Amino acid sequence: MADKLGEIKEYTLSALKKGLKLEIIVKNLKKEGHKEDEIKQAFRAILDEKKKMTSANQHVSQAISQPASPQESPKAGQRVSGPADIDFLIFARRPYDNFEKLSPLASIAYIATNLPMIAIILAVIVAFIALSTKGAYLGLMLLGSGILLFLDILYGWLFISKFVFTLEKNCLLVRKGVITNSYTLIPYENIQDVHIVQSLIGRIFRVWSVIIFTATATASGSELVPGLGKESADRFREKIFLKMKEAKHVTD
Amino acid sequence: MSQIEAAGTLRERFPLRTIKIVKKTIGTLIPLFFIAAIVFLALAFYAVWMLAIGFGVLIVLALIVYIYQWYYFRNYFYDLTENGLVIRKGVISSWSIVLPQHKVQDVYLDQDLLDRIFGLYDLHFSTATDVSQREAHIDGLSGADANKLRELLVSWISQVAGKPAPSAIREEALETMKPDKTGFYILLFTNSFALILISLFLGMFGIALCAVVFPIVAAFTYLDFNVIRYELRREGVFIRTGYILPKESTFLYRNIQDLEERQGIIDRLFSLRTLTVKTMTTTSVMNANLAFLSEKDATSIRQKILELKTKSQAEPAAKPAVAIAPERIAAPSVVVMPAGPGIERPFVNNFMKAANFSNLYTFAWCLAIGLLFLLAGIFAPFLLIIALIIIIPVPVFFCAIAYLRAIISNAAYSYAIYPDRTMIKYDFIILNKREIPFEKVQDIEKHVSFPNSFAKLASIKFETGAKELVSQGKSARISSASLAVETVPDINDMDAESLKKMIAERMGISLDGLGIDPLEKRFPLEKIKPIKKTVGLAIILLGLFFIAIPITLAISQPLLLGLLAIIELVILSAKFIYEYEYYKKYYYDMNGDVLVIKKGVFGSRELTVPLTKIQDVFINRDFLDLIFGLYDVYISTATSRSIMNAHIDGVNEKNAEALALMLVNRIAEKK
Repeated sequence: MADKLGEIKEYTLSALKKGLKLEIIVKNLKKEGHKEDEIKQAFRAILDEKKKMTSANQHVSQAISQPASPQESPKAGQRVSGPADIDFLIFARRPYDNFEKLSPLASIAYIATNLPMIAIILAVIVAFIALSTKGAYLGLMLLGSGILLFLDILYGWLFISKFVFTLEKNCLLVRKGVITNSYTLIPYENIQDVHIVQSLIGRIFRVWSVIIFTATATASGSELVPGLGKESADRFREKIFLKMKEAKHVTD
Repeated sequence: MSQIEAAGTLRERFPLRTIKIVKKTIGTLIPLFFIAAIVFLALAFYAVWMLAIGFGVLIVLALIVYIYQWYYFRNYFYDLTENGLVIRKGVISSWSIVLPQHKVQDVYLDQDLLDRIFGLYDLHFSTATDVSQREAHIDGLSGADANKLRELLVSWISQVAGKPAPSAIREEALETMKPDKTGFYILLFTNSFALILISLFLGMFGIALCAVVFPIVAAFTYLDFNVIRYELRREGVFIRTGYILPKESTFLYRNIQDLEERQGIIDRLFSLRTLTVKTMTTTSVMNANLAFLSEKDATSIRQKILELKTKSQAEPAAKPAVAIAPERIAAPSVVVMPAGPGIERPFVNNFMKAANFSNLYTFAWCLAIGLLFLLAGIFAPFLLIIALIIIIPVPVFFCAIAYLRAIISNAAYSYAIYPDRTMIKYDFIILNKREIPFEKVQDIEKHVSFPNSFAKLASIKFETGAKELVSQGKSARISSASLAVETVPDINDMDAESLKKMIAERMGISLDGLGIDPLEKRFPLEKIKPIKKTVGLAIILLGLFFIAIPITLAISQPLLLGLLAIIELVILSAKFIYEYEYYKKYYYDMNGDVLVIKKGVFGSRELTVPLTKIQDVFINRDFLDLIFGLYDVYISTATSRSIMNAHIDGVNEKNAEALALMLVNRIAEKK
C-alpha cells in the first residue's frame, strides 16, 4: 500500500514538473490500475508535505485547491470559454482538507443541541401515556426514545464528520448535509460580518461556531461552521479577513 | 489607523458607565417585579410571612441578576482592529462580531427610557445583515464618549481605501434643515387621533379625558417635533429625532441605495414631502425618513444628496462602485459619462395596448369558466344564470377597471434616464418619486406577462438592495418586494431590449456576446427534469386516486373512479407538457459581465444579474433531486427577487459544480 502511494506520488510530482495537467495525470494513473481512493490519498499526502515544505510543489496544491483552471480575465463582451478541464476534481469527489480541524467534541455538542428538545417531547408523551394507560406502553416508549436518540446521534455524528469547509482561492466553500448535500460558495469580498458564537451547550463542550453573513435578502446563503475550538475559530476568522483583504474592495 | 491603535483599545478609551449594570438589572427585574407584586399581594391575604419570604427571594434574585450583569459588563469588549470593529460580549454564551470597515452601512445613537433616566447612550451599527442590526451595538456610554466614539467610527467607516484616516474629526453640518412648521399639526393629529376617537365614544367622560390628556400629548409632540433635525454632513445624512427617546441616525452617502420622495394625501394638502434615503439595512427603512419637508426644501436637499453621493464615490482613491476593467474605460460607463440632462421617457409606455390585451385575456378566462358553468347548467338550471353573469358583467367590470388604470397610469406615470440614475415617478393623489443610482441596481428583469406576449410588450424592472416597507393587511412587514414604481411597464418588446441595453451600459456592464454558444448548451439541464417536476404531482394524484377507491366503492359507483382516472391523467399530461416546455425554454448564459437566466412558458421572465452583485452561490438539492440525481444552483444577490428567480434547476452534479465554480471565479476576477 505504502509503495503504491509512493509510486503515485513520485509519478505525480514528476509529471507536474513536466507540466502535465492534473486530469491527465489522473487518467494515466487510472490506466495503470490505481484506484481513485489511492490517488486521493496520495494527493492528500502531497498536500501535507507541501504544508511542511511550503514553496516546493506549490502548483500541486494550487491545482488541487482550485479545480477550475485559471483563465485570463475576459474582455467585456468576449465569450467565456467553458472550464472543460473540470473533470476529476469537482468538489464532491476530490480529497478535502478542512481548513481547521473541528473540535473532537463537535459532534457531541451538535448531538446535544437537539437533546433537550427530544427530552421534552419524550417527557410529554411518556407523561401523557403513563397517565392515561397506567404505563402499559412505557416499554414501547422507551424503545421509541432509544431509536430517536440513536437517530439523533447517528445524524449528528454523520453531519459533523461529513462537514467540510475550505478556503478556496476565490471563495469560502462549505459542504454540508447527511442525505442531501448542499454547497455554499461565498466570494470573500461579499462577506459582510463574521460572528463567533458560543451557545450554552457550546460552553459546556468548549466549542464555538463561526457564522459568516453576506448581504442576501434571506439568510440561506449565509454559512455556519459549527464546533470549532476557540483557537481554531480565531484562526479561521483571521484567515477569512486576510482573504478579504486580498480580494479587492467594492461597495455594495 | 495608527493613532487609533496607539491609544489603547476603544473599550479603555471610551469606557462604559458602571451605572449600566444597575440599569440592566432594573430593566431585567421590572417585569418580574410586576408579576411578583401581584402574586405576593394575593398571598399576603393568607399569611404575612409569605410576603417576607417572597421579598427575600426577590432580593436574592436581584443580587443574582446584578452579579450576572456585572460579569456581562466586565466581559463587554469593543475595539478597532485591522480587520474591523470587534464587539464581544456575553457571560454564559458569548457572541463576538467583527464588522469589516467598508461593510458598515448605518450608525445610530439612541436612548431608551431607562437609558434616559441613567444618562446612558447606545451606539448601534448595522451592516446589510439583519443579525448585525440586533447584535452589533455598544450599550451604556456616557453622552460625551458616545458622541466622540461615533465621530471616530463614522470617519473610520467612511475612510477611503488607500488614504490615511481623516485626522481631524469633523461633525460640522454642511447644511442643517428643520421640518416645515405645518408638520407639527400633522404630527399632533396623528398622535392624538386615537385619543380623540376614544373620547368620542366615551361621551362626557371622554371630553374630560381629552381635556386632561390632550395638552400633555400636544406638549410632548411639540418637544418631539422641535428636536427634529436633518443635517447633510460630509460623510452622510444625519437625522435626529425624539425628545423622550432620542435617536440620531447617520446614513452614509455611498451606501444609499435609492432616494425616494413621497407625498401622501395629508402631505399633499399641506404641500409637504418626505424624503427617504434608504441603505441596504432593514432599520433604515424605518429611520431614514426626512419627513415634513416643504416642496422647495425637498427638491434642493434631494439635489444636494445626489451631488454629495456622486462626490463620495468620485474621490480619487476610491474605487468606483462598479469596478471597471482597464480595457473598458473607453466604453461608455458611469464614470466617463458626461453629466448631462436626463432623457425623459425614452420609450413610450403602451398602457392602453397592454390593457386591451389583458382584457382579451380576462374575457377568454371568463368565457372558459362561463362555458363550464353552461355545461353544468344541463344538470342544474340555476347555474345558467351564474354562467351568464360570469360571461358578461364580470369581465366588463374588470375591463372597466383595467382601462381606468391604464388612463390613470398614462397621466400619472413617468420615468427618465439620467447618466447616473433613473428617476421613476408615479403621481396620482399620492406622489411617489424614486431616484435609483445605476451602480446600486442589483438586477434587471425583463418581464413579459402572458397577455403582453401577444401584444409584443414587456416591462423592465430593476431592483436595488433597499428593503421595502410593505403593509399587508394589519401587519407591516419589511421585504424587498418591488413596488410599481420600480418598473418601466408595458413598453414595446424591442424598446425593452434597448432600454435594458441602455441601463446596462450606464451600469458599466456589457451585454455583448450573450446568446452565442450559451451556457445552457455547454452545461445543459438534465433531460429527466420535466419528469422530476411531474412526479410530485403524480404522487399527490395517485394518493387521491387511492383515497377515492374505497369512497367510490362505498357509494357503489365505480364509473366515477374511471372518470377520476381520466381527469387525473389529463391533468398529469398537461403538467408534463408544461414542464417539458418549461425545460425546453429554460435559458441561461453568461458573458464576462452578467449572468442571464430566462424562463417561463406563458410569457417569460429574463433576469440579468451583474456578476459584481452576486453575493453567494449555493448548490442544493431536495429529496426528489436526490432520486433523480439533480442539483439546483442558486445565485443570490441582495434582493429578494433574485432568490425567487435566479436559480438554475436540474443540472447534474458535475455541471452544477462547474457552473458554481465558474461563477465564483468570474466574480473574483471582476472585483
